[in-house]
Amino acid sequence: MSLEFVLKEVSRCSFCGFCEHVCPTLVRYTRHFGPRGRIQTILFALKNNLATEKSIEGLYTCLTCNACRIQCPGDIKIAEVVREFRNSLRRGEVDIDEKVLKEVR
Amino acid sequence: MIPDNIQINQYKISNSSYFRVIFVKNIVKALKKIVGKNNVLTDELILALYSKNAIGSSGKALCVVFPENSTHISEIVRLCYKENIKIYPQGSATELSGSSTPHDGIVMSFSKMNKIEEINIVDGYVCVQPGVRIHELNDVLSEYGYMFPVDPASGKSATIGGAINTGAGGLRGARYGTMTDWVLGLEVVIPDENGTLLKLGNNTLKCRQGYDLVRLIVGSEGTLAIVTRAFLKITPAPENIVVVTSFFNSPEDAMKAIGEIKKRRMLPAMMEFIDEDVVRMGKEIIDVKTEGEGHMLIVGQECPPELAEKCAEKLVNIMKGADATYIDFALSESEAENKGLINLRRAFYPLAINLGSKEFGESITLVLIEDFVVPVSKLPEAVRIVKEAGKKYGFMVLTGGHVGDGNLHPMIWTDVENKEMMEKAEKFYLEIMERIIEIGGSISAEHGIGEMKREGLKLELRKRGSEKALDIMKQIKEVWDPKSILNPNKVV
Repeated sequence: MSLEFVLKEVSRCSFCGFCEHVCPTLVRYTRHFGPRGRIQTILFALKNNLATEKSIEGLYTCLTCNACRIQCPGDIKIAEVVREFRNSLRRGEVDIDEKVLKEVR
Repeated sequence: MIPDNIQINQYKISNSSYFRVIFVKNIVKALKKIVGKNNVLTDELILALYSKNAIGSSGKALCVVFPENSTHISEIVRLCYKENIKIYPQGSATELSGSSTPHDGIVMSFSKMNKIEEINIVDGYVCVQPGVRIHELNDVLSEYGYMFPVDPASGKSATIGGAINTGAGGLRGARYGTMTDWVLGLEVVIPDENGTLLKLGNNTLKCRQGYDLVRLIVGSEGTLAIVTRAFLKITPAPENIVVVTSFFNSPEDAMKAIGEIKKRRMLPAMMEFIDEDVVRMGKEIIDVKTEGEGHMLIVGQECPPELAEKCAEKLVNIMKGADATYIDFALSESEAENKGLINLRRAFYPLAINLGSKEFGESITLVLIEDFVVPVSKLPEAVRIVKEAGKKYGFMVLTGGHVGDGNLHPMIWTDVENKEMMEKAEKFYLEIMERIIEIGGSISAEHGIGEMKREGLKLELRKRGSEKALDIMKQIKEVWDPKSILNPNKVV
């Protein structure tokens, strides 16, 4: 899997929110701890080079359990995308602010 | 209590970023005093997640606040009224009209007000907080053999508060109606200097309390008051549902079947239509298996298990009489699931996403779902109208909807980054709104007006010679929200 694939997948998200109710880490409260938020966080990072420590934090709470994928009308491979994006961050392949990434690396 | 010692207003007159930062900082400080520091979010990217919706529009939020009870809401409203800060109430932001998009104000999220407070089978109601998801409520009610029948497609994510404010409907609308029919009473906070809490309606099945303010709030899209608690009517869940799917050469033939069902005094819980393009591409692209071809009608009729065969036979005969080219049926919902009878209907939305992403690759694909209602007898004409408009503007249009109540949801997909295509999409929707009004329809059945259909609402009222109604609506808004701080510039 490549970052091109990740971008193609996250670009398909229509923000419908159908994925959220099954996410064990959303804990119902804040959107960045759920699949819809994570997809958008990756989209912000890859399309606009935008990320914050808090938004990235949401990506690292994903259990990659895949519960969301069954719910997604677009069949976006959410868990795989999150896993690949985290790997890319670690490898320094994503162009975002170093300060944001200090904890990740 | 509201921290009176915090001075906010003095900074607001300046637009310079320095003073703006101080202004926002002070709002946040005041809000944290009310709801606690963990209940206010300010991270810019997290705010962006609360500033988007499923139709591709986005705005800007100053912060997101998570009240935990009606006292919190009342105090927040008091603060915002005093300081002229806009409030944008938000459920799960699954709406499709732009009603939840914030513009330079605070987003009020109800995800921490998610309790089912009371279930009363004998008196026939439940009392819930606005952040409860419809699906969760039905999960709990199923233990009692009861249900809350309003079932929008987003029901697993959609919240009660959002559904009330949207005036949501769903698949079972023809039999069970929309939210308007199921809200008995509401507790709301109104945007005045005290953040006054009002109890409107009651938890009784009947209530005449002067002008019906409960039903004014239902469908008001968060523009008049903030719902803090709802008393909802509930109903016994059906024992069994017979499902019949049939395929027709034309929408007119499908319409014949719908007419005959009505003449035979049947009132199906579900009557769904999808056009021949959805059927063809659903089979090709997302591999839904059925031998049927053409336009599809799915009918779900409630009936006791012992009468299921008779009921199915009656429906099958109706379909045959309407020249159905292929018919299948199941005597129960579980059999329908096993046979995959409803899979093509379920493929409606995923198919559009799938086709859109195939067409636009890495561009952000936007699936636009229209929502209008026509007299049931005008459905074939409505299908023709949207298909013709699609051809004119170069869009493939997928059509489906809840035809038992005349509600269609034509769908197109566009590339958000392609300005020309987005403009064409707008023209396409304006044209079909105009023509739908001409054949006696209405521009929104269950998604609401929000930001997207304000022009459509004006158009509809103008065409009916009722522009004055819009003035009355504006006056109503002013009475409830004199400073226009509650979800401003939506609906009217």
